[in-house]
Amino acid sequence: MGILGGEGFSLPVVSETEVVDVKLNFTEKAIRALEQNMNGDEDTHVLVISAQSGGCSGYLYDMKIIERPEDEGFQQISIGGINVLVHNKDSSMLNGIQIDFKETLMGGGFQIENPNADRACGCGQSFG
Amino acid sequence: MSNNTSGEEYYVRSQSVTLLQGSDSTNVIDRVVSTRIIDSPDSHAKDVLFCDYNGRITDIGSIYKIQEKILLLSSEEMGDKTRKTLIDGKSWDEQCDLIIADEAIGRVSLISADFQSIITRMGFEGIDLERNRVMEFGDMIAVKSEFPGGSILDILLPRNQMSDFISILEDAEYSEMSEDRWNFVRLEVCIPSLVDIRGNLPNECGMINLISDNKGCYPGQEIHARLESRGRTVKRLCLLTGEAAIGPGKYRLSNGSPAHITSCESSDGISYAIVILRVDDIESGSVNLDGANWKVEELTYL
Repeated sequence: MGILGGEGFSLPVVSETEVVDVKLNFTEKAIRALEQNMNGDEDTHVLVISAQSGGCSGYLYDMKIIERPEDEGFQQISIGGINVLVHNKDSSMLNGIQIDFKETLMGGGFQIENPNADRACGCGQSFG
Repeated sequence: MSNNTSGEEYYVRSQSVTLLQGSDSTNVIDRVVSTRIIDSPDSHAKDVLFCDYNGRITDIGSIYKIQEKILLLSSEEMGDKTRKTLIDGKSWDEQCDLIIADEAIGRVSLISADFQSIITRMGFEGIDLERNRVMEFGDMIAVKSEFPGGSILDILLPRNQMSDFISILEDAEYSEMSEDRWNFVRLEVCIPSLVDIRGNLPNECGMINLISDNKGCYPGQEIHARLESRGRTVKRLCLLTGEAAIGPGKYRLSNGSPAHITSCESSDGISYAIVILRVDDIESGSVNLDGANWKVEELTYL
């Protein structure tokens, strides 16, 4: 059986988080960059914006273009005809974020300003 | 530091025990600790620090990789908060279940000059205990840890087998340590507790070994990197050895410098205390505190 297979273990712990209706603000530059990155796959693919632990300040942003996930815990926001998803678990952390796009050789790309963050790290990828 | 522990003794530790299972478990923990664990081999134990964004220690844990799962032993007082950090930080698409195992798994720490004989008495022969290697014995695991003042053998086992195991220990003439005795032994062996290090920077606690410079960002990393390149350690966690009894609290040295005692214990005319002192006050190797002289040594985590 081994030490990890006996009695007394709890069920998997579930994160209890506040769920809010998410609003996102994209700049024109960010919408154009997103359209380019979607590359015509708007019907089948979505942009998922999420937060996970890590980074210098406690949480890291993550952005992925993927096929629409089956998970029912997402909120969908349409931005210029592109579907953007935010998971309910991240909704209170990401509500109201402003997404811009900077075209610089160093540190360019999508940039997020988060009104919920008390602090952010220098590279802009981490907040807390 | 000398090892004055005598005889064979055991102590049943109170700990927060958490099991993480799923293919992303290592990533979920690695992102929030200061110690690189992503490439730790299976059947290996590694101590880790949890820090806040100011780089200050919030918890200390031991990670055991077993059968592609991770067992995290962390402090009892910060257990729930550390678990919340882990579960809140899991991304929506990561496979990682966090399971509370406080009621399932117990931890017994052994002090002995001969750990091998108790392993043999448990019915397992021909096994060499190596430092930080997770050895599985039936439903139990054993890990030998080394500290500046000596070694500890930790046995993790199902709680429902605890009384049988303690019978084996007592048949082998191990005696149970009281909380005070354990506190004395852990000071003698130089095992800092969370109460000694919480709120301090790792370099102040001699815990640079638990900071991995090559793992990228984690909470507190910017501060740790700046300390590594430009910082000056102003205060330091130290072990005091003397004969006078002293209690925890804030004191002044005879020269007026502050001294903060976080743990202390006396037995048979020997007193140990863990104290935070200014670096300038350590150089002479002794301090006068509360009217008594104490030998002072910087604590270093191996």
